[in-house]
Amino acid sequence: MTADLIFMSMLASLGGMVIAAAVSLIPGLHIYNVIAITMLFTFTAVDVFSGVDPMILTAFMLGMVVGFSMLFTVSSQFFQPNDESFRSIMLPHERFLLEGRGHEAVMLGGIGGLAGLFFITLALPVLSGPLSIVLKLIKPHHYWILGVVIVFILMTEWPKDHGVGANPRQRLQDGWVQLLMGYFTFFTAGILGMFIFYRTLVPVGSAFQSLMPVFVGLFSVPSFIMTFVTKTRIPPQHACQSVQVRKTDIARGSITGFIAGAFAGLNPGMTPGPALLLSGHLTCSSGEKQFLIGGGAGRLLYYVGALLLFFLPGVYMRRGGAAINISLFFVPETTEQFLLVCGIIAMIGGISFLLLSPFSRLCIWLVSRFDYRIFSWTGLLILVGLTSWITGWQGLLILTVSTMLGIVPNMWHTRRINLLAVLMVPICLNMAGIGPRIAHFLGLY
Amino acid sequence: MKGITHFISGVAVASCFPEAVGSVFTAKGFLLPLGGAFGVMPDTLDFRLARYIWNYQHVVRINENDLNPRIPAEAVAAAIDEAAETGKSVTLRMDIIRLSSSYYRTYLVFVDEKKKEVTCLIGPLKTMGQVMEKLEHMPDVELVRESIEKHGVAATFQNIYKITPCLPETAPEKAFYTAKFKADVINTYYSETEVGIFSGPDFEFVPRDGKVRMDFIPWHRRWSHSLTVGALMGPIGFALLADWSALFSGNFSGFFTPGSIAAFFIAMLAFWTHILEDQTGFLGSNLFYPFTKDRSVGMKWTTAASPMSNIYTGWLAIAIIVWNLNSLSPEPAFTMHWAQNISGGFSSWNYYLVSLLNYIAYVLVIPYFIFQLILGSFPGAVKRRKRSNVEMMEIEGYAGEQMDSADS
Repeated sequence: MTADLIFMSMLASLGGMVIAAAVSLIPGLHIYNVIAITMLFTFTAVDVFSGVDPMILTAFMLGMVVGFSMLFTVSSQFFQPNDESFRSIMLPHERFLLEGRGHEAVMLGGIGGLAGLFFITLALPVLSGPLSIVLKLIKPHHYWILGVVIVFILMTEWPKDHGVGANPRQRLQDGWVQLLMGYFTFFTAGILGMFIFYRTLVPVGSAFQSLMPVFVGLFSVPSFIMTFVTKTRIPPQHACQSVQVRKTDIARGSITGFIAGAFAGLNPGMTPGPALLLSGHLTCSSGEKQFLIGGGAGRLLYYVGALLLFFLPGVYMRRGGAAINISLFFVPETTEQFLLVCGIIAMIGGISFLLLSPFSRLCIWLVSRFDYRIFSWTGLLILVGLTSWITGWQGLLILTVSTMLGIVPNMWHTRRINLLAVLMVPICLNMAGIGPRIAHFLGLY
Repeated sequence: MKGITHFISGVAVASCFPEAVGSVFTAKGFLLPLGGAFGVMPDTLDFRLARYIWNYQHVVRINENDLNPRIPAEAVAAAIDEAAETGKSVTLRMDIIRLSSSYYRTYLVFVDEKKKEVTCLIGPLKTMGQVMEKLEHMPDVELVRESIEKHGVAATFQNIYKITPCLPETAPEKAFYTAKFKADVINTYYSETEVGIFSGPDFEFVPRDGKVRMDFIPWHRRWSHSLTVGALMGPIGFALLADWSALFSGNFSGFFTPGSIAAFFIAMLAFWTHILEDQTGFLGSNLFYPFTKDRSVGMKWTTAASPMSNIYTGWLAIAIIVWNLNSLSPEPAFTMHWAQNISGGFSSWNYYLVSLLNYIAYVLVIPYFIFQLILGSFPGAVKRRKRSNVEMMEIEGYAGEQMDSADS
């Protein structure tokens, strides 16, 4: 590996980080969507890129993923306030914003991200041996591990309504409305997932982004809609100079995030949300600061840690959208490549962390000057436009159906995590070998 | 224990059945998640069913526009006397005052069985995250008692609010009321009760030997946490995996599949494991419902909400799962160092036992001591404050409900 290649790779990763920072300003826009556009562009202009070392394009994508993992929550922190009437429980970052402490929430998440970054760059490289054992051990068990998560999600949503009523029947009815809507969301999302996996409308040429309209519809667009209808006024935000946090909060929050990120990264079909739910309970994490730190660490480990496993000698595991796209043009072969990747992650992660505070202040400035709905309108237009461009009218149709389902948790105060059945159910059933039978039963196959 | 601990323990129980792990390789079976489902089942039954069908004779409800401390104080006092006078159990529930998705108005209720007084003090606003650490910041019950004797109930409670997490300057000044009752109260529950998040605290006042015994959250750990109901889970587990088509076609022996027989025992044992784990705490369970009526007292080794006991139990359960998945796998992913010179693999008893000993040493014993060493280096990492038995019971009562905190 030449010094030129290393230098060019570092430059490319910085370029990727700049793009990630720009993308992170638009709430709801995911870096995997940008990677998809990059891939489309790369494959279209294949002659231009044929002379470029694949490592440089890989570094570019690494820069995007690492920068995005650190920065992407900042815009939604400030630009997507939640109305209390749409929440049974306000999550810590939502409440921090309404108390003028959005910057503090961002920095706490950043601390978690930094802890995750230390783990990824310092611990993961020496964990190649144990990791390959873990992967070998759990390989036949992925399907039921996902099943375990599904059962846990379904069995442990306690009614948040307190069952006000004169008799047991009325109280049951009162308390169970929310639970039943949660089940409705889960099973409908599961069926939608089976449809997407077995009979999607998305044209074959765009099959690599077949999940895009579903995720945009289930998560992004409902968030935009909630932002449009909310009456919340964002109070003046205090950009604190320092964050008060105990060492134990950092330790417990980070450990929760590590477990969540590792669990989600190693198991197909898992995402940081359900993994954080499980790990938070498992480590008995408590308090808002641990929650925010855990979220930051979990996201970084899931997006970046899982991607690093693709380059880890002896492991070479392809998990997540970024790794799948990179694997289309790059084959990891040497320890030098892995070390370069580690260096790039450390460099971009460190710079992104340093950017976090100014980035947050920029968002504070923007939200004090402009109506926060403008950013959601921008995000909505970009995402719908992208979906339409990449997946056609068929994708827009899926997006519309998904949006209707995605609004349900907001209206009925159920867990949004139920929507992830769109991914968990088909993957679990397919890995268990009964997916085709269920699809046949549903008339999809 | 918390729900996730029970859940993983249930999976660990299932993993001890060779049929459960074997079915992963032969038929992609779902016996392991089944263990998890039955492991958490007792709490699911309680928090989704029992709490609703429990009959409350009195419900105390005050609101933000009329924060009258007299209502809860007099209601509790009247309920105690009603139980004594009628000779029948009286149930009472105190509803929370929820102002929004973020904020709750809190109030404290204190029953002093010596002075025969119930005092209620309207407290400040709290948020979900802060109340989640319910009682973590509360001073020891004996200190509270001392302070009450010295300074009075109201002054003590106001001081408690000053040192507990809450939104400052949101407590009304001197908003307290003391009501008197006549009956003698049995001291099974003696503590300040904070009405905060989720559903409010529930009490049952049970007449016993001319006195009135106070039971906290009376619907919890009753029939749902009994070994007898656990025994009924076996047939349910069996029914889920039995070959019903074989039965209907007259093939009676085919009805009993190896998976359904394993499911019978997994469902029952996972359910019982939950009860056993809960029994290590302070608040016991009604173990032999319907033959017994009351909750037994726990073994008092730990408390259900304790992070340490939950983490250790979870760790142990995961260690058991990993061991079983590896040793029962057709191609084990790892072999233990101590057994390298023993032949025969996991099917040989020698190999199995030496490997298991090695595994226990490496995965359980050494990490335990390292963990203790780390905790010793950070004394503030875990609060080790002496609490009274009744305070522990209250914490345990809330532990199950705290499962669903920040997960949406």
